Amino acid sequence: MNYKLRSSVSVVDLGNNVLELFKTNTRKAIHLRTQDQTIERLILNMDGQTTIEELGERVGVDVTTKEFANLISYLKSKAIIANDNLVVKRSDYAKYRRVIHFIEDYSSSDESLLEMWENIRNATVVIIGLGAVGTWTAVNMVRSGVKNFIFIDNDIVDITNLHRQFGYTEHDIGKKKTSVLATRLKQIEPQVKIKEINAFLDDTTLDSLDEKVDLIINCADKPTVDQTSEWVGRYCMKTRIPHIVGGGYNLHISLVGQTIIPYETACYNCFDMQLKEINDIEGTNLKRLNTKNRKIGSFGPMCSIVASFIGMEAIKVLSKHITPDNINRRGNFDIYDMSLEYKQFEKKIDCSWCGESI
Amino acid sequence: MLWNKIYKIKDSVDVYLVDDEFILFYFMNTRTRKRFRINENVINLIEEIDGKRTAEELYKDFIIKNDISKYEFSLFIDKMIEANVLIERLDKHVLSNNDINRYDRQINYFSEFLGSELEAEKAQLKLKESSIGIIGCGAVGGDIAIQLAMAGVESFVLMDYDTVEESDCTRHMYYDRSDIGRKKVEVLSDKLKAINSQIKTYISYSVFTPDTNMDTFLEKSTFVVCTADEPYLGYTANLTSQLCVPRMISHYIAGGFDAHLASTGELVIPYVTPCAACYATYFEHKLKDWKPKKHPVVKRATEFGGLSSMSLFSASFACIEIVKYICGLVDMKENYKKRAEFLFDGMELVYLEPERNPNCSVCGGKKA
Repeated sequence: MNYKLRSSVSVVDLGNNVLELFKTNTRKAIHLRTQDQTIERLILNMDGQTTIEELGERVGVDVTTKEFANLISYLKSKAIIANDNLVVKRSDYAKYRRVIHFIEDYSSSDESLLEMWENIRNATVVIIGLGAVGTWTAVNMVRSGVKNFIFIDNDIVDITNLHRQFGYTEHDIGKKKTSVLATRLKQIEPQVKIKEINAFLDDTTLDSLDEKVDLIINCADKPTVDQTSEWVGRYCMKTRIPHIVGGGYNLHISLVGQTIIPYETACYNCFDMQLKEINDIEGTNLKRLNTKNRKIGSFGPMCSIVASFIGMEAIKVLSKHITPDNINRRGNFDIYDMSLEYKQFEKKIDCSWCGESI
Repeated sequence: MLWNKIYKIKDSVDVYLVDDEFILFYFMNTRTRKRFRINENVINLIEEIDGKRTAEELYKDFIIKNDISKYEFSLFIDKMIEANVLIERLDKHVLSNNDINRYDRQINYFSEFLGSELEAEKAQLKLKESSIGIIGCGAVGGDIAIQLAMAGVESFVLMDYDTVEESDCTRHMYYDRSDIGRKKVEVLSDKLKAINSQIKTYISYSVFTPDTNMDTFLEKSTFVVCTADEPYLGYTANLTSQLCVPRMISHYIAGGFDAHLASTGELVIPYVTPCAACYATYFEHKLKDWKPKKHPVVKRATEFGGLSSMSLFSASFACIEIVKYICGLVDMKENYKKRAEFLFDGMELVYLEPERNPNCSVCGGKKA
């Protein structure tokens, strides 16, 4: 096997015998302390064409030693040299090479890259609510290689949706969102399989699922985001399915929802308990008055940026290898000053959903 | 207040009753609150305000069941206007009914920044009347065009020499399998028109180089977006600022592969914000001790990574800034953002700190 420095890795000699290997995809650097220029020369000759023997001759290194084998195994485990030998043979490589070479940053061997990619390809993702965040999330997932979906929504396309919801055109007005989006996504990737459930989510909708599901993304806000998230949370704890609270928005603040891995991270109820504690501090006898004909404004790019966060977290979950980042926290993205701030939450031992007594 | 006007409670105001004794208005925009001592009449009145009846009509309907004088009623309405809880509804519109209907929720969103429905409609009109020039219709450039078309921009000037290939379908939001082999600008133009049949496009198949004649492109564009990444983004960005700064055309630099994944890009307002050449100077200085060695792999370009969600981040961020600027939602001369990098690993946004270079060859020395 010939070794190849990954195309997206930059090699920088920082001087004082420190060699930086910079993964440009994820902007992560590895620093190697070296004795001389040998390792640098070895790496800079790994062009994928040169055989190991030629490499050894060119750099003047004995390639049969244990040290050489250790170096190679270290560089592969850190995804500095290519781990793509098994994936390049796949028929879907040409189409998805960018995705594959991206997740390669997290691979530790040829086998692990293949495994992550197969996990993503074979996953089934449920998306609830095909509005602004849900539509952008769905197309993102397809473009990232996910093939199997279950869409849950009972809405029809309306002219007022077009300014923020992906995939709907003027010709689609009056049609079911599930089938319009499914058709659109099949034009992008004919291999996708989409089950359409034309219903608004209630507390029993998910019980009818009989497929093996890998991730549920909740983008439904009717009757409220809190209510749908609670229903999704309850079902996912029961079935141990990872889920992402799709988020919502309050004027110029977009909520970046949390990723939940059942029984490993804070669950929806853990978050709810802590949010209630915060509200209790302000506590008075508050009653909300309804405002007639209230319309809450919305803005497309604010929703699609939330979908982009969900898309990144979803790939981590589906790879079953990359640790998601938005566990035990949720974020506020402020459109006014373009800042992103997180608030930490913890897994509660006294949680009635996932606590110690369960 | 005027009796023939319609008033409504601002959509961004939450109304709470506290201990049946106070009314509390929570302003979602500024996260501030105001509290008033009230009686039952006031609670009923607040629940009656529907944004559809004139003050006169509202009063007539209200006194049937409640005891309140015309004077007390007008005092209350005035107080609520003063407190920023009530606003007057618009009776003359600057947009067509079709546009008002289509962009209803977005106009509503704008009005929260601008304070009135009239200003919000004018902001929507600014989008409609803008013409966005896009140099480079790749993943980020295409996403930006699509999102701006959705938001209400109706004129685009599209420039790209390239054709769609199979792997483009995985990263770009708008390419279908049936588009493989077609010119990117033509495909994008079709997609924009499907979103809104009013959209007009002007297409250029040129390669963007220092020798390209950009006169027509720039004459037709009121705002320019550069996402062209050949030979690399820094180069095309510099070229864009060189063309746009002297002509006082604001522009946005976005996208580019290889170490630009999920970059925010930056808005350039001539002589106000750092231009692309200022950024180049900044990076030259910042990276002066960081020189990558020649990479051994010859054909690297097909092996870079990228996710469509990362392009979508860059495009969405750019569109928020572009719309804020064009519509005047925020004073961008004071509040423009410098480039930031969004890190997939950690999900954090890290801002860079370039400054305008007083000796910049493109924007130095002069004042707007």
